[in-house]
Amino acid sequence: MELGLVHYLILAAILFCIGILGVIISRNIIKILISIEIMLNAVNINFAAFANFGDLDEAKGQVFAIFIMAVAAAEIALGLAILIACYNNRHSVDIEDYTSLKG
Amino acid sequence: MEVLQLLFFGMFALVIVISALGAIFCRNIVHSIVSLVITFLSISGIFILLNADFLAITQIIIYAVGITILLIFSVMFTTTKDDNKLWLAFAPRTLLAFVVAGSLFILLIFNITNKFTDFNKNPESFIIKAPKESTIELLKEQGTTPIIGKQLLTKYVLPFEVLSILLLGVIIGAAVIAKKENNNSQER
Repeated sequence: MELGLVHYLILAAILFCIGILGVIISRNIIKILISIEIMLNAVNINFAAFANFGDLDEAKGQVFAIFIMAVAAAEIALGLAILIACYNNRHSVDIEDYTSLKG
Repeated sequence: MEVLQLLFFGMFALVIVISALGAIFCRNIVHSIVSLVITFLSISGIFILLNADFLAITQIIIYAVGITILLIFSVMFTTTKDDNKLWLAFAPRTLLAFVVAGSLFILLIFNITNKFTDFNKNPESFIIKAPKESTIELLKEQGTTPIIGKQLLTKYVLPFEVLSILLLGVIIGAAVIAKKENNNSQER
């Protein structure tokens, strides 16, 4: 059996589905952010796999993976800042307590 | 060589899946962050298998160190001992989550195994091939860093600059959001 593109894509699909499961299933806000990071990493694996099996001379997929990493770092920093700002009001990290927008 | 690559891929994939499940299903939030670090390190191993050395090092620096420190500090700021009972949401959306994730997984696997084996049989329709020997020899000498640097400063220079503006905005925004509420609570 030869290690091909399909194996990497299946691994990324498993990881992405674990991330989706975690986003919906968890009650802790920090755990939701963790799940989003897992999903972004799955996308990075896809980009690197297509860069390896498509155009390794130009490595476009790796460039896009680096862009994704930078945006993910920005996203987690802003998300945690918002979490700390909300925690100062509500004193809770339970997602069920943040229902004031629903009315 | 092929067998060794397959062995390493299997090992990394197993560790990734188990520790990603652990990151979601651990009851203690610190345990799940440690499990997340193991996931990130194994993903950098997958990047090395994919001839992406710069990406692997960047993965370790940004994810396994930077984001983890942010997460652990925010856990220290916010989490109390009672939060261990915030494990899973036993609500209707839990069932919905399993249905959504399972059906998406089945759809993805179906697409991948059918479409891409066709592409493998007929490589002209879509460019999927193992990297050339000359490229591998070049990468053994210099790595992918010069290639990525050349791409970032020629073809993708506009997204690169937009990204720097985004990072500047995030620095200012995170500082403002986290600081303003602190001042208000102190005044009260």
